[in-house]
Amino acid sequence: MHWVNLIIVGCLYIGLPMVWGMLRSASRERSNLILSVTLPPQARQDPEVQELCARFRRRLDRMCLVLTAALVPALFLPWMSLVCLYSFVWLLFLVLPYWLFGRANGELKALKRCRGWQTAGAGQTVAEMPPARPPRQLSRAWFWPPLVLSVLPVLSVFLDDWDPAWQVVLGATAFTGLLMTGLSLVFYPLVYRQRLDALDGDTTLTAALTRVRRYNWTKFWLLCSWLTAGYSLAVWLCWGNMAWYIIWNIVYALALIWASLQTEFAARRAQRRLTEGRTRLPEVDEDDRWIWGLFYCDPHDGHTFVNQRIGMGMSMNLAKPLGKGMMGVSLALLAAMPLLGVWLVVEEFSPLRLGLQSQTVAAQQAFTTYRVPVAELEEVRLLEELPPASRIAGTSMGHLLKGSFSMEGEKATFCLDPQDPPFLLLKTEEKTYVFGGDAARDLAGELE
Amino acid sequence: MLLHLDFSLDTPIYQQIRNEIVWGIAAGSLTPGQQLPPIRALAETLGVNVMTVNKAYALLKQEGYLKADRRAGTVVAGRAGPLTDELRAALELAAAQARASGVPLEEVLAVCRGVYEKKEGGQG
Repeated sequence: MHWVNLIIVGCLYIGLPMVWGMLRSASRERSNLILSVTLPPQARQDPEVQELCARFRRRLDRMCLVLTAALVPALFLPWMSLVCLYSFVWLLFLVLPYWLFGRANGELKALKRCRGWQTAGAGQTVAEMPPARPPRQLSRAWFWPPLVLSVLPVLSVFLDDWDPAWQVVLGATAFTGLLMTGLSLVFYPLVYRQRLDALDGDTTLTAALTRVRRYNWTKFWLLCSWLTAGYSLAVWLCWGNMAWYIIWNIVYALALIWASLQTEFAARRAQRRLTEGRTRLPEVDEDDRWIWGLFYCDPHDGHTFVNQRIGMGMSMNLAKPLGKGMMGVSLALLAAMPLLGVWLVVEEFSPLRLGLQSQTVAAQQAFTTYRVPVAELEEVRLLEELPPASRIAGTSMGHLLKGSFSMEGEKATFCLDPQDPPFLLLKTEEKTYVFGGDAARDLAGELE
Repeated sequence: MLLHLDFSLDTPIYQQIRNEIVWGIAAGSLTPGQQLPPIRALAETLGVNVMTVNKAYALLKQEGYLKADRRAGTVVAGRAGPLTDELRAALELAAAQARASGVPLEEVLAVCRGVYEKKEGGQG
């Protein structure tokens, strides 16, 4: 097992325990809901409902164990591209726990109909009258410093003299950071523009539930903004060191996951504490608007983003064109993941072709071709062994090194299979190239 | 106070909002002098057009349930006046409909009493 396999598999696997935790928690009573179905107090204690929830939890546990076991072979695959392809295909199967949830939600809805547990608000839009004065909210000034901080690396990309390969990496990171801190500033006010979290006519409870959601959502956006600014600055201060870049990426991803999980589960815990064992009949019942208890669809609702039924996130209204579009893009991105794996396989397993074409040395592999005019060559050498090199930007797989690398303190462009010597070293006034391929020895003789 | 809207009914949405606010005033959930949310805030909460809420507020002002206050915005009007001609006509028509349908007087009086005795959270 290679440590790269462990990192790839670990990064993708982390989604499964998160999905498991959230769906499992949705099978316990909170805010009059069980499995995303609104139930009156007596129904929530009904043995048939309890059995249905227990059955869902058992199935979910089994499903997650099977999915975990299914990912283990990826740890032992010897080719990185195949590890990626396998893991990305596995990622598609993360819809299965949601499918289980949707099925349990459907069963509970049917039981609700059958036992006559419909509530008075079913089929209606029921909302608490908003307060006359806008609620007190955290000043937007807290979001400006991270935004300003994340502008610094972007300015540096343009103003400082960076290595072109690193400039691309830093540029992509800095722009993403700026986008994230900007989005935090833009989306934060949405927290206060949603419906109050009413369950029934109890205004004190509504105010408490609304505060819980707003407090945790605000905390998340603020954390996200500051973490992203810190990440952008840290990457900027790497000064081109790829190892530190990878470390900061991992730290940032872990910190972001921790922040979102911590706030999500804090919100759920508080909601449960406030509503568990409630005996008042629910007046708000939006079950018919939640497809499988997961997707919101209400053509009469003007909102594109609505509060998640539980926790503190937001969901899209699939009846709105923007909601449909965003859901389509999300699904397309998910479906495209295996294609990314296929592309990596093509990259790793395409043969290297090296040759002389009209006074130009051409090294071609998969979708990339490097061309070096013979007239510009200052040095040609055959290397029987590849000197120690580290990647700056490009592909680094077991059988393929392609892109910009640092070799003996010098920058060089690689296109070779490290397991298949010899290698052809070409030097021009500006650049150094190291190419591999069956024709390397013959071409070296010809050029010399 | 909870507002209930039913999009499957033939009653226009602005009328439903108007009715809900009248119920709220009758039940004491909205008291005289109490500020109402701005039109935009209420429209956002209900997920309806701003013009719909504007129409409901305008109707309520016209009927005297709400009034515009220079500093507080829209507030619930304090009404202790006699029965207006319009309201009398509406009540008489409702009573006539009940009688024509064969509803006993006691039942009509019980409904009226129920409305007068309803407290916060019991409307709808």
